[in-house]
Amino acid sequence: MNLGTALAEYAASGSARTAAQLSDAVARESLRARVRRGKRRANLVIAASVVGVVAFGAAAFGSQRGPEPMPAPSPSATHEQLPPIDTSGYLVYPGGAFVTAEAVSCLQIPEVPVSMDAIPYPGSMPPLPTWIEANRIYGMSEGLPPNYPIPLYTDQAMFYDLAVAEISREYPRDVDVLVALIADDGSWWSFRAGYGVIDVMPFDDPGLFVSLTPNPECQGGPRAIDRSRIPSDHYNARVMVTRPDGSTVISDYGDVAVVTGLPSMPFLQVTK
Amino acid sequence: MTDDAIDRLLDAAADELAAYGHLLTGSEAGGARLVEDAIVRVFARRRRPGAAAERLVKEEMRVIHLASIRRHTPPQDEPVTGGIGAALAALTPPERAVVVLRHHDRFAIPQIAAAMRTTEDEVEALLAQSLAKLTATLGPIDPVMDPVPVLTRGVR
Repeated sequence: MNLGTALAEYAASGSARTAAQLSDAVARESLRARVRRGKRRANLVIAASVVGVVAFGAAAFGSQRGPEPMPAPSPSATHEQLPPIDTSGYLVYPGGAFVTAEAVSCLQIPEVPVSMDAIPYPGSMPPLPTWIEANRIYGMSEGLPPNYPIPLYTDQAMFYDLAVAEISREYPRDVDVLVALIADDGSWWSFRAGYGVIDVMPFDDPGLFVSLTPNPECQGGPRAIDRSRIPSDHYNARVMVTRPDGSTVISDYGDVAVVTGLPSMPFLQVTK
Repeated sequence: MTDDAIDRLLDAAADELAAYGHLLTGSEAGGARLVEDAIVRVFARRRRPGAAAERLVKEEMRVIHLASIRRHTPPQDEPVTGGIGAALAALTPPERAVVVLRHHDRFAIPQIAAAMRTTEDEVEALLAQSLAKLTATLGPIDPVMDPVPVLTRGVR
């Protein structure tokens, strides 16, 4: 059997209604209106100096959304309990951020106080997801490469939101953003964060993403042995932004869960 | 200008795009949504897609559909009885996608791997699994022959 021919015949067999609908004047006008709305959003982004795909290692976001409610830690969180993307509770913002005059060394990460001898930081900080899939960080042999982008929000309205454009313009890409995940026993793992608007992801809708690159030179504590991977658990997320003048902006985000595998793309694990 | 271009595209290729949407999704309604979403994305981004509009829209349909597979929200297959429609409906969305890309779009394995952002081994395994299911229902299936590059002899 020539499957290609059979597929073409099958495809044509179920398309008459759709083709007729696409020829309908009302449907076409509705389509044109959607295109015009899409152009207006795109133009808004262009006007704010963001053209096409923007990849930036943003330090902090000028978001006007304000902090999301911080979910309480749940030691027994399962994949089913995790808030899906684009729902409230998926993103976490810090309650506040502080500037320290000195650079923070790796060993100081778990201990540096964020609210003492520090100046409140007037800007906003970038969001983090409340749960992170380990395979998006480390990759997997049959599927994803390491540092695979993690969606933050993919809603189309948000994707074109002016706030995203302002964020990318305000914070240059060479700013160093470090995300440290600190366990209750003091063990910590750190990751370099890169934020970007991406619209070519095959498994994710267009939107704002963060990629986390493991930083094995900067991890420590009882469980972070040598270059070990971060175990599935709940952590306090601490974000540090090194500014061009050498000062550091530090902020605690509260509970972030690391889950094993790739529950957002289960088919990648079952189609081996 | 854009409006005219949309009309020209749909006048020339509505049947083809609708058929491709149906093939990818297995659903007329889902296929229609896919076509419209792809048109919006292509024309909202490009001022004049020109003669490439149909190809661009089909590419966008593939991208959107693969993303919808990731989110596990592909449209439900409409009920079908027997034949290739039923055989396709028995496949998982990734299996169906890989069959369409290989046997309908005539993509080579590396192209499919790139489109699905996975490895060639993964694609080979998924394709073999899909074809085994289809063969059980439809009988033996001809293999796809990748085009052989034409070698031209240089003039000496």
